[in-house]
Amino acid sequence: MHELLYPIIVPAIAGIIPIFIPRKGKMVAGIISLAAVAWVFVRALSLFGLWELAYNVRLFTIAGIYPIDFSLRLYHFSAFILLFIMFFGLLIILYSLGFLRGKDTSSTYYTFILWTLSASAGAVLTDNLLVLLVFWEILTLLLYFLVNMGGEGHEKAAAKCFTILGFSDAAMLLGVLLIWLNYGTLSMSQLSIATGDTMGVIAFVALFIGAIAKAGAMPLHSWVPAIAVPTHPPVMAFLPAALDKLLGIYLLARLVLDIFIIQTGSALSLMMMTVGAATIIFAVMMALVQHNLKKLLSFHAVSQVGYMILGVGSGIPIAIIGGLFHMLNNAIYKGGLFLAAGAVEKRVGTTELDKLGGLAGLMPITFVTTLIAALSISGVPPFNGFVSKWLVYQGMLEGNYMIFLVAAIFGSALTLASFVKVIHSLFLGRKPDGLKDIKEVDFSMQFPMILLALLCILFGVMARLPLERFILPIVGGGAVMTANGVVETTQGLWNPGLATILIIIGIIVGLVIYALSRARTTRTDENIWIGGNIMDSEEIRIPGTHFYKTVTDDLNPVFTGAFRDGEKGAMDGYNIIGGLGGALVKVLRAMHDGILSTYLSWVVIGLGVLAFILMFH
Amino acid sequence: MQQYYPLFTAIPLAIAFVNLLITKINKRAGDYLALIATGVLAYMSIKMLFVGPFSYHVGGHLPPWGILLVSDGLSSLMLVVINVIAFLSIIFSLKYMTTYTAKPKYYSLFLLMVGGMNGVVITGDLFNLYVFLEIASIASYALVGFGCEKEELEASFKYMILGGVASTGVLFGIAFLYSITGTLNMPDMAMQLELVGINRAVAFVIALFVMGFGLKASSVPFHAWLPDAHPSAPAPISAMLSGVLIKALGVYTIMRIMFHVIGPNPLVSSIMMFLGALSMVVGGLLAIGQEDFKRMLAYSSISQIGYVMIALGLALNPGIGMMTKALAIVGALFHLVNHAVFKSLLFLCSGAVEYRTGTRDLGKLGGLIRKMPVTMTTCSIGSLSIAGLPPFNGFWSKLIIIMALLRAGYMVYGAIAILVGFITLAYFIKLQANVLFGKLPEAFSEVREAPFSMVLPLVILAILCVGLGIAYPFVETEMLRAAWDTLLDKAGFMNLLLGG
Repeated sequence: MHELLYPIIVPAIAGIIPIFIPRKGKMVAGIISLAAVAWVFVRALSLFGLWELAYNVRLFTIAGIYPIDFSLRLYHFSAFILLFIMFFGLLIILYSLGFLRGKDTSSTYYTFILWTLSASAGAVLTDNLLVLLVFWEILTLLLYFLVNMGGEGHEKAAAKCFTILGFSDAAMLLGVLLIWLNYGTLSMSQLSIATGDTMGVIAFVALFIGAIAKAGAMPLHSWVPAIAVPTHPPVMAFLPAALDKLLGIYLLARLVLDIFIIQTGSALSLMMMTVGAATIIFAVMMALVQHNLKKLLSFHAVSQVGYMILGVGSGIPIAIIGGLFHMLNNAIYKGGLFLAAGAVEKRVGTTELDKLGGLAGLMPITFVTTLIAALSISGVPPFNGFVSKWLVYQGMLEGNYMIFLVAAIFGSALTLASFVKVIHSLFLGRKPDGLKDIKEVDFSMQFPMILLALLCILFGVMARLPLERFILPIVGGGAVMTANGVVETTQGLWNPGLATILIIIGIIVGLVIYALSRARTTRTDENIWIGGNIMDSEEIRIPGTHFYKTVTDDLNPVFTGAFRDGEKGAMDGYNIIGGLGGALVKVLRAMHDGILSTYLSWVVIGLGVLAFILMFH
Repeated sequence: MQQYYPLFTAIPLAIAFVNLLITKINKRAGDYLALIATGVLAYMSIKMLFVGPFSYHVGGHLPPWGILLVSDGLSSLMLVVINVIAFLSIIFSLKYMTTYTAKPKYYSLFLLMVGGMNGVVITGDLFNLYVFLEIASIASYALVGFGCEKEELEASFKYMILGGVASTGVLFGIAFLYSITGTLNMPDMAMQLELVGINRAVAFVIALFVMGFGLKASSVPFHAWLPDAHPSAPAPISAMLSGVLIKALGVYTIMRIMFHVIGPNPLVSSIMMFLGALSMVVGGLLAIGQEDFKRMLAYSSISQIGYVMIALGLALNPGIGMMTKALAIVGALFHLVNHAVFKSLLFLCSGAVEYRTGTRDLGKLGGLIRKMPVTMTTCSIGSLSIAGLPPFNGFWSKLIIIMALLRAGYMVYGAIAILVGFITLAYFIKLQANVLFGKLPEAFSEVREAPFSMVLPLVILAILCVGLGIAYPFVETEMLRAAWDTLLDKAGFMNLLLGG
């Protein structure tokens, strides 16, 4: 068997085994899966050393005309993504062993995880757009099943998720077919489509929709927050936080760098950057007002995609490097954050921030890893999130996109503000009275969190390592490393002064918001007296969720309205389209009144019209 | 095999009558008779796939005077679809129909319907086609009202009236054609029509046929009977009606007559494409709004037949290239086969659910994946196939149809086909969310898996859904190739009159 087939076939076959293992023995299923993925991971490591490897087999020809080639191509970009897919797969399966213990979840959970790995490997390795689409849709399907294994309300969340991703897959199908019919090939490495004409633009936009929906950017983001609460946290860490980002941004980068020719500063490039910047700002604002940890994290998962799209879409080499590095960094810290949420859920049984507090002493490992990941996502040096955001900022400066730069930096400040709230509500703050006997989670769950936190530090302090290994070869000769570890493009219009100042301003803004809301926080260990009564201490405990009530309540009435609408999902395309479709369906249903004479008249009128057209044409 | 060809109608018609007599003596005999009869037919139909085209002269009388039976790629394909699904539906009926009275009458009507459909497919004579069409239709009217409840009878009545209008239209059309050409033998008629050309009388015949067969195929605006009739019938009959009957009586007849007798025509092509697109959209949108399991499936059938119609319409356009035509026909035929498989699967699933829970109201169901894992897994596979997700069979057929549309330059129709694919996905997600997943209602905590004889056909059909998708290359060469060659080869059909 060809070397490149192993990452696809081995998880696919291994995934069949758990189907036959009953619920009670799911630990066995997990260990089998772990072994299979570990083997593939080692394989992926050795593949990473190879530079170029191709495999091609003609599957069949449709109607004797159109050949379908199952062609795989390994090069540094796909090898890098493949490596991290398997890495995350390994961590998630390990984590799930502990997380699912004692839960009533079927062993097929592991089947779906393994098949997801197999399909992801296929999507990354393939060089054929149609094969990519097939794997892409299979991924959507598997995510749907995984969400359906979750807790209460899973079926509605899964339905929403599948509908939105199904829509994006349909758009992709259109794009792929248009490319096939107009440019005569499906081979990604042979395509180089100009985006000057309408056909090119339609094809690009269609595929762009597919890429950003998977990555979870606005306006196709709402499936991520929708599935956040009922879905098992490891699944959230695995798919929306890690794999879907890797895959979505991988595809976006392929589109921008290989398949289409996008000029820097062109309308399409600006469109992408606008999508990116809007995603950063709006999603982080929604995150700011969430009360549920998982939901909050999911909005950040959306917000962070903005940086990647902003960077990759700009077409400026250093920003592309930043965007791609951010993709990797985000997968690491966001994975870590969701796993921490899982740990809290496992031990406390809830992720409602109002009901949590003071866990720092009880779950120290979770606390420290969450803190590191939170600082990374907020773009605080020296963690990895800072490095990649910094690169994106530099790119924006280089392209003179001040407004996008401000959006990116402001988004970063708000992220920090939001995580101040998380850290406070979860780990600091006052412990609610109900929380007793909380222990740290098992080592199998700790280990992935620790590893990810270490990577946050490693990729931040020694950013050269991942950049040179993984990212720079993708962009090619456009960028070089300078001695002090900073990436500089050959065009080299780098202005550290302004970016630094803006960063500091951003952090100050974050601190100011924090300080403002602290003023409203009361912290006391004494039972207080109101009107002669001693209040129950639980009633006066102020959880961190109240931090940013200022933002929603006081800022200004327009803003508040927007938040309320956002909460209800009025700005969610899913609801809008659903409403429009519903109205159309109502009209059609009203026409079908069940009366025979109505139906008969349709038949007679139909016949009359047909006869008229046919006879007197 | 050739000498046994008439048995495709003779066996079911004969057993239908014998069954009524024997079951007067032994009630159980009906089960065995129906099972053996449909089993033999299914076996014969599969064997027929590997027999080349021939014609059979009933009673040895030579055409154009004698009755002609025709076997070619198209009829073989249809025979497989009809008889295999019929066999599986009968297996399902063994247990399911015990909830109804008068099981022997059910079997007889069922076999009459199968015999009628087989007759429509194998005959090479237009009047014979009408007779068999009526046999199958009348049997189906009775079967729709088999439960004898108020709604079932109303549905059956509506179906009968509208079906009657369609049959009258078809009969008129045949009479017109007879007056124009002086023959009822289809290859002969095709030759005569080539001399006549498309005059106004023929144009009127086309209108009558598009209405008549279009109604049988439930194309919008002639579709209104279907959403009442298909849900009212017992589940295995719904599976037969939606899975097979609308195709054998509607789509197949349109294909045979438009391609082989009247010949491709650009105007007919655009009419059929328009009706196909309309059916796709209207059926799909209405399916979203349904709260009844079977009713949703029924509307979905209208939508899916739209795909077949639009692709056939495209292939009827003489102006497009041979390659695109081939693509369109492959897509249409494959989707026809696929729809037969997954729609009958889904209707049988709805039957299994109703058998165990007593309801098909989507609002009252939920969480059944834990209680009926096999049934629900097959239901999920069927839903995903029909929604066009890879690697299931529906993905390929929709892909090919959309490709053909885009390649021929019909960008809007292509986009509509993609959009309806998404709409299909949306309502099948709704179906799954309401039946498979979510919270199990208290009332169903004691629900068990459906009995073996009901699960078996479900599993076979689900395997077919996956198999036809993964083994598409094999399906294309072994099943579709002959049929699409046949459809594009009008001269070959006319030669059957002389040869065979």
